[in-house]
Amino acid sequence: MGEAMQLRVQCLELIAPEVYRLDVGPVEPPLAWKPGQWASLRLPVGPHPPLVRAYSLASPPDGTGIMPLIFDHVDGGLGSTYLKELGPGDEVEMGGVLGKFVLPEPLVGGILFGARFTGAVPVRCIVRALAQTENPPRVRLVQGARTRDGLLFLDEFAALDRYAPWFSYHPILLEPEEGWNGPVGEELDLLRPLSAEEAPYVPMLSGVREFTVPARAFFQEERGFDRRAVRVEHYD
Amino acid sequence: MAGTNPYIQTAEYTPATKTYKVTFIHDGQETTVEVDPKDVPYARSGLPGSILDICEGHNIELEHTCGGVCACSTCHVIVRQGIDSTNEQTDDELDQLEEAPGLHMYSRLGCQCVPDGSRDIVIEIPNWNRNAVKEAPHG
Repeated sequence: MGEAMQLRVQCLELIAPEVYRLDVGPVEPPLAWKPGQWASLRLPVGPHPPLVRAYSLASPPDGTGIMPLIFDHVDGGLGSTYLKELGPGDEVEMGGVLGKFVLPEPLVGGILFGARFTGAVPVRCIVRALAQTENPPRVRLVQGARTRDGLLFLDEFAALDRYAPWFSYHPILLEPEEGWNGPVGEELDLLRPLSAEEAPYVPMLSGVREFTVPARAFFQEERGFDRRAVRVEHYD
Repeated sequence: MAGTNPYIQTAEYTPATKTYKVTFIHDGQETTVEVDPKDVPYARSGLPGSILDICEGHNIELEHTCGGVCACSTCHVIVRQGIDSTNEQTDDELDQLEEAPGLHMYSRLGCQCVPDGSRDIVIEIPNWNRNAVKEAPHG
C-alpha cells in the first residue's frame, strides 16, 4: 500500500440534512491538490478493514494544510456512519488525493457545469479557485436537487452570481417546497438551452450516474461532443 | 463516492454459480484462493464477486483509492489466464484504465472485473499497484 497519513479531525459540521463537512489536517507540508479532486480515506470499519472510501474536497488549498471534505450520510453506509461520529482530535487515515475531475489545461472557452446534490462539492472547489484568478473564464452552473435543502452552497453560488459577471447560477428543484420561485424539473431541462450556444465551452458533470449518464449522452448525441470531452465525476 | 450503482453498464455481468480458483501473482509469488459463490460479496468494495471483492475477502492487498467505484485506476490488474470468463469492459472502465501505468491488452480494473466462474483464472497484481497513490499527480 502507499504510505498513509494520519490526519486529525479539526471539526465536523452539519451543512445540510445528512450532509457533513469534515475538516482534517493539518498536512505538513500542505498538499497542493487540484480543485475538483478527492481524498481517499482508509477507515477502520467493515468486514475487512480498512474500508477505503473517497470524499470530495470542498475548497482549493489555502496554505493551512487543512483539508475540507464533504460527505453525505447514507443509511447503512459504513464509511459515512463512522465519519459522522468523529469529533475534534480524532484521527483519520488518508491514502492520498486523486481524481480527474479537474479543469482541462489549457482551457479553451468557458465551462458549463451540471451538478446534482453532493456533485456540487468539487464544482464549488473549482469555482472558488477560479474566483481567485485574475481573469476567470465564463462559468455557468446548473445545480439540481430534490428539495431546496439539497442545493448545497446555494447562498454562496447565488451571491457569486450577483457580483461576478463571469459566473451565472441556475438552480433547479425536482420537488420544490412552497416559496420556491425558481425552475422545477431536472438539470437537463436547463442544460439543454444553455448548451445550445455557439461559443466554445467544456461540459463538466458531477453527481450520481442517474444524472451524469444521460447528461453525458445528451452532450454527445445532441451537441456533438466527443465522449472524453465531457468531463464527468461519478458518485456511485 | 462509494455505493451500489444501479445505472452503470457494469451491472451486466454473470455471477459465478460454482466454486472456482483465482491465482494471484505478485512479486513472483503465487497465492491461490477458492471462490465460493455463496460467500460473495465478501466485502463492500467493487462489484460483488469482482477481483477486488475477492482480494478483500482473502486478505490480498489490492490498492483501490476510490473505494471500488470505477473512479480511479489504482486497482489495475492483468488477467493472465481466463480473460474470456470475465465480463465485458465498459467505456467507464476503459476511460480509467487509460491512466494506468503499464497497460496490457488484458488489463482490467479489479473493482469492475467479475469472473463468471466457468474456469479458474490467473491475475497478476502489478508491482506499481502498491504505491499508485504516491505516484499519482497531486497537482
